[in-house]
Amino acid sequence: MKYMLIMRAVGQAAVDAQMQRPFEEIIAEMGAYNESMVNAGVLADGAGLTDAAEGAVVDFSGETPTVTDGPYGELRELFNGFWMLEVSSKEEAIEWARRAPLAAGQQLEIRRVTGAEDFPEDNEWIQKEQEWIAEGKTRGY
Amino acid sequence: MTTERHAQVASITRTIEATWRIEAAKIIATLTRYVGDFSVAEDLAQDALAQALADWPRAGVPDNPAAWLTATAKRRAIDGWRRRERFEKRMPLLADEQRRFEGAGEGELPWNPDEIDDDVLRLVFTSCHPVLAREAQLALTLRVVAGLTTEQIARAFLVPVPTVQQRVVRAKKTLAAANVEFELPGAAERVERLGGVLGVLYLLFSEGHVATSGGDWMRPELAMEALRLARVVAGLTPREPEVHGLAVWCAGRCRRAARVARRPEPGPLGSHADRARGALAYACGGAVGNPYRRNWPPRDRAVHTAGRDRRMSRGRPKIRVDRLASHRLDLRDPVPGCPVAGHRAEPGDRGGRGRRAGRGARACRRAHRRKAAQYLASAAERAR
Repeated sequence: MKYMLIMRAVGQAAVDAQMQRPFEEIIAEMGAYNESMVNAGVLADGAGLTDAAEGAVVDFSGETPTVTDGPYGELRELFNGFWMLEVSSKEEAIEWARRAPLAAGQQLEIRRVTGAEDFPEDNEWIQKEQEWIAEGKTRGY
Repeated sequence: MTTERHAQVASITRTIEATWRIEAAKIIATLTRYVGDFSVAEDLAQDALAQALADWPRAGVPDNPAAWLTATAKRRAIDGWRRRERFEKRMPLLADEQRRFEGAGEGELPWNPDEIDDDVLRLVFTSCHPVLAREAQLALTLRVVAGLTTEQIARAFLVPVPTVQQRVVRAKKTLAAANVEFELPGAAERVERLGGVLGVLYLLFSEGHVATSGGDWMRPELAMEALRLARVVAGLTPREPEVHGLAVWCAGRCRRAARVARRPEPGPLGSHADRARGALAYACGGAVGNPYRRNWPPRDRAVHTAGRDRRMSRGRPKIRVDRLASHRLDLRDPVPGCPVAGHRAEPGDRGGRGRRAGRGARACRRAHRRKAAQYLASAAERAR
């Protein structure tokens, strides 16, 4: 089973607090955490997201999509990274999440990632996607 | 007990199982170092786990479960020594340990982070020790390194629980009788021993990939567990070329996913238009873009050596996937004993036995695929 741990800061204050810390320290903590998951054979992928100011939002509420440059301003929760774990149960994903070196104001949301078994087997597009993954055209999860 | 309480206990049990999966190897490795005997350490760890299953549903999960389990096991070790009046002999060691852990605060690791990786690797080599029969190696690896419970192992292999228990007990007796040291193999035997470890992992994988007994067509959990263990071993031995056979595991996994998704009712191989392609493309596809690929083929061929150990194979495919993958991945030399030796996956290659015999590249490729498909066929598939 694949689970995604979605890292988010609750409000800009938490992000700022994180920025105050020495970069080396953060990297060392994250590195050790990642290494422990690699050594346990559960870490499939992971990445951090850059500042929301570098991004944009495409909103589909109107007739045509409207594009707003970041920062989003109104959004309370700022997503800033994720881990993709391959574990045997939700509890195992939770156990790993508990060990993340995160501080107050930060949260990890744990979500199961869909696999082939979640979709009808006879759907043409699902089959195609499986082929893409098998042929290395897309990574797939 | 109310339903709510039942649900709560079940949830805590799952949490304990999850913790155990993550920590078992480290706990047992640490205990082995502590008591100086692998079998005793395993018993102690299992006792501590049983204690956790009894206590935690009432008292709640401790803040540092690994430390709790290790400490409980160590207390039991001390009790045992007291009873056997060997306490004095162990006293200096205990005092040392005690000093180290007195200073350990909340949330600290119950083991030395600089030593633990090597200790876990020692555990892997011990569980896959050549004095053990393959079945014992499999059971011990799953229990000790992967942290599966006896029940889970029994379920995975479709055998009764007592059978697994007996295997584990016998395995530990064998290790004790052979005076197996809790050590890393020296340079001379390292390749061979690593080949043995990979052999165990391959067997686990194929056991999960193609069920040999019962009506189960496939047991993905076991294959996934084997994959995880392969990643663990690869992480522990980053400089060993053999472990880069990991690419193969990815290949197998890709194929598994494709097979489950597309052919829930498998027919004989070759009956679908895409069967041959499936055999090869799926087998090789997972290796594409895999960081380990560039290190393939392994220098020492321990992977292939492992593959030729047929004691448990019962004529079922096991190592072929990697052979196929190795062909696609430009392995120019024929692999000894490879069922498709002499054939080339690509027409531009030097040409194999098929081409020399006067067949064209296309026919040769077809023959190659047919053979590949045959060897990838499982007992279940053939029976249909």
